[in-house]
Amino acid sequence: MIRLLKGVFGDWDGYALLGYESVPIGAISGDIVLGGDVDSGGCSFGTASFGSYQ
Amino acid sequence: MAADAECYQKTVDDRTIILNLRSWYSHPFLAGDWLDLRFGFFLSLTQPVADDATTGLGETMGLPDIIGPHDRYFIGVSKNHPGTGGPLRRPLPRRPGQPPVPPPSPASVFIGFTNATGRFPGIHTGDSLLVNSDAGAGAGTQYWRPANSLNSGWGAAIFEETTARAVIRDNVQQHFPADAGTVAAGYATFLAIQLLRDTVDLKTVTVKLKSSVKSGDWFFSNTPTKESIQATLAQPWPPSVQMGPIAMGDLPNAFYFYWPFRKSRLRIHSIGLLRAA
Repeated sequence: MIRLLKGVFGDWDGYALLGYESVPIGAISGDIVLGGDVDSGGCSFGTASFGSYQ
Repeated sequence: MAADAECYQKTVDDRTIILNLRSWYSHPFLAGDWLDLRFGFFLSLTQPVADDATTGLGETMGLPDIIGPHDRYFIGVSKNHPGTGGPLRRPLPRRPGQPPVPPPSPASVFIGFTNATGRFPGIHTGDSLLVNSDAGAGAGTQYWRPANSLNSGWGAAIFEETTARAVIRDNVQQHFPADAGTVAAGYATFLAIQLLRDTVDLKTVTVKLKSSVKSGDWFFSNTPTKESIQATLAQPWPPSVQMGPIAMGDLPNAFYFYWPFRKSRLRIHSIGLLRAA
């Protein structure tokens, strides 16, 4: 059904884009919402995770 | 506790994430019901301490020190497991005189660029290298190129659990500018991955990676922005090598970056995905 609607509403494209321009300068660890993403069409980013294998 | 990464202002328009030595970055995403899903990222390298220096990064990680997946690089997408570090799990401590113990829980999915061909620790599948390179697979000074000593062409794979479902053996080599002054096009490398499937409920996927002679690079840029990613991914997909179609047990849901070397750090300038269909 969703596929059938594509012709009616035209564009099903979506995107999620992330630069880091809103991230504070400095150290990052663990789980963090980085923000600054631009989303469309139901695409998006979740919470980022950082860790180390040292 | 040491930080895992830092945020650095490279240029007025480029604030970048720099992973600390042997640190990983996993970023989950939602992409809806896709048939053609494209991922792109701008990456570069820098020294272990200096945030913007590209000399002296060459390194060989080999026996007896190379023991497992933590000594391979992984740049791509994975199945995210919160709190575990994506597709890589820390192996159990090695007992004296005994072989390394595999990770307690096998990884599930990784698709992307890597010099790994097997993930169980204890099986030596080549030294992990970062070498000075030309824009292909030869010697040079313009780029740093990660490689595997057994086959310098190994550069991408699909892993599921501890099994390599597919390996690309040549012509997807990745190059990172070694000296921005000698790489006129820019300091950051654009790499991308395309996933295709026939219907939205299928876990059978085909993976395409841009491929030319000894290179999987798309282009180099001094403006590695998310807007550039969007515009690039919307273009027709270039000539590629293909993995699959492969029936996967699960599909990736996160960007994943891990850089194993101790003489260089990975910088991530921007990331993005496009659901093209």
